[in-house]
Amino acid sequence: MDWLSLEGVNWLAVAIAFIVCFAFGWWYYSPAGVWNVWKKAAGVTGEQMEGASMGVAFAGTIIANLLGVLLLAILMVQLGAESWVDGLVLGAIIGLVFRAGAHALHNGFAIRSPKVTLLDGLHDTVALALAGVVLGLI
Amino acid sequence: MGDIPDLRGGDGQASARQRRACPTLRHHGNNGTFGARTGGHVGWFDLSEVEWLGVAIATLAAYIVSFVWYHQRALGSTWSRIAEVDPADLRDGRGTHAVFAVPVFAITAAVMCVVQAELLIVSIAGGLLFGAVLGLVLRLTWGLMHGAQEFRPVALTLIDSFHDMAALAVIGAVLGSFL
Repeated sequence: MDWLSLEGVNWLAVAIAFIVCFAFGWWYYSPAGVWNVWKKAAGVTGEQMEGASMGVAFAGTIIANLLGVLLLAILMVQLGAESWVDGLVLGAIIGLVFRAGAHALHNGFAIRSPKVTLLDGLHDTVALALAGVVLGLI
Repeated sequence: MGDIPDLRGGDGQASARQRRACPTLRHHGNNGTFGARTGGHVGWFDLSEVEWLGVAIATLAAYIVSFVWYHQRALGSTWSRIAEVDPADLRDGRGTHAVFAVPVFAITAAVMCVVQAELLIVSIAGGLLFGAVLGLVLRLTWGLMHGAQEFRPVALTLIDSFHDMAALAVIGAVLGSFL
């Protein structure tokens, strides 16, 4: 587990990358982004929205983004990925392979709309790529 | 190379095991230069690091994990009920989905192989832990995030995410034995 070390991690960069990642998600799933298309494709109803606990959803989003950015930062340090291009490539690869791949696999078996796979996969890939850029820049 | 022993092979690259034995050769046999990049390419991403036989066996192993995990006698029937997917529909479409799963596992294994080789994760236990950590962070937490946003049952996300953790851990372990 030598690779799983916090040594060399720039915590300021992690904090800013987390904010960027979170802000991107906020915009992406807003009416200004893909909300209306995504809501329809995912089959999310107004009734579900009314009964939802936004606190749980936010907490989950914060934890996921924070851990994702931290793991990306650790991998960048350990791989010697030091520039924003390195961060962009690593973040995009991780997002595409480990996140979009998961959406494709599970949504395919669950016979869900390919639009959900596309929109969620795109979000995860771009979010992690942006986080990688920030981590590489700072 | 100065006093650094030359462990690199005929292709000028040290294997992952050789680099682990000689820390000064860490990171892609680049004479110890941390994060060196050449020719405008991202130095850490090199497909020559990929052990293709290991990737093929890791893909097969992950597929077997999936087959067992989602078998009707394991979690398949529970998953179908929670996901509100008629097993008959699943059986009809299984061929298509199964074929689609193979490239996903294969690409995942190839990328993990590149990263494990760079990080010198060259043991079964090390690979197992690496895959499990990737699964925990990138599949479980992100899966729960999307599941909550889409109002999907938590049990469904947990079944899928723990499957992913197991599959990635197995891929990592197989690759660790090959590197």
